Amino acid sequence: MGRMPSSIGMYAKLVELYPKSYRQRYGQPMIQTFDDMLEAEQSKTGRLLIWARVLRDLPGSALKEHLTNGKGVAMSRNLKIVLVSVAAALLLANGMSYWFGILHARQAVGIERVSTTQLADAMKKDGFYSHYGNAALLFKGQVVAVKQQNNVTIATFKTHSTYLLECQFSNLKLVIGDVISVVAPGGSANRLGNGVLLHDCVRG
Amino acid sequence: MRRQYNQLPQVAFSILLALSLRERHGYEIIKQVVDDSNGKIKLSPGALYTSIKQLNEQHLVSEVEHRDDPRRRYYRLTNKGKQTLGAELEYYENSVVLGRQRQVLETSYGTNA
Repeated sequence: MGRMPSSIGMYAKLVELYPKSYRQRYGQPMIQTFDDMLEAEQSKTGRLLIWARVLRDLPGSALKEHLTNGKGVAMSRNLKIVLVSVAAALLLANGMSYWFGILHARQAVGIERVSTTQLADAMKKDGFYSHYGNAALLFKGQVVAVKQQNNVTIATFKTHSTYLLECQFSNLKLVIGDVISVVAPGGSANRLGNGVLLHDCVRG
Repeated sequence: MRRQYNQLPQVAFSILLALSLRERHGYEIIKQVVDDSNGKIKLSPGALYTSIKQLNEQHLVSEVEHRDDPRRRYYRLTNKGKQTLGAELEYYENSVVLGRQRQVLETSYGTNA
């Protein structure tokens, strides 16, 4: 799938926020890596997620390089640009990550509505749910256990199966008893001894 | 010399682990880190090369030129990098044993099939 050449141009402009000495050594590899990432991503929303990740990380890493390399008046203008960019990009990227995460899940190859019990039983039977990896999953379930660490929440959902069904969320507070719809993007499950952990879930 | 452990940030540790199999270029490192972390760590080029710069300055990784792929810069573990990664893994292995003994590590999170 083709990608917009302007993406590379825009990214090359952002790389100019790094100090000159850093750019001379790592600028071209960064642009090449970004190009490789876009080339490998098949969907438009997937590429937008790459952009969101870049915008979230770039200001911080550029600022860090300025502070570790920083001396002299010549770089102060760039440093100001970086500082302003930090706040703007963090706000933009966080919003993009959240909304495009949902969009990405919904626009995956397909989206299949399943019950938590169907999902748990199918995963128990097949090792993995037979369609997982090709389609996003949408289900509604009641939270029966919650683990919270920093901004990551792992919620266990009630099923009538003995198989555990757990989902990992970012930036979502849940409490036991909550009934929510969950979208799990395809292809991101971690097999557990007696269940499965679905990564990168979002509220549907 | 006594090996020291637990001094690496998580991203740096992940990069060293990704390079433990073979030398790789930037995008290959990012993909391997995603695989190794079950999708939990997704690096951007900025985060990747900031860490690679530090690892390079600490002589834990080095650049390798590839004649058949001149557009990309490849990286490999140095001997010091291998030793440091080994020491980190020993530390984590010991921590997992302690976690199980103290029943802090729950069964469902400790038995990936």
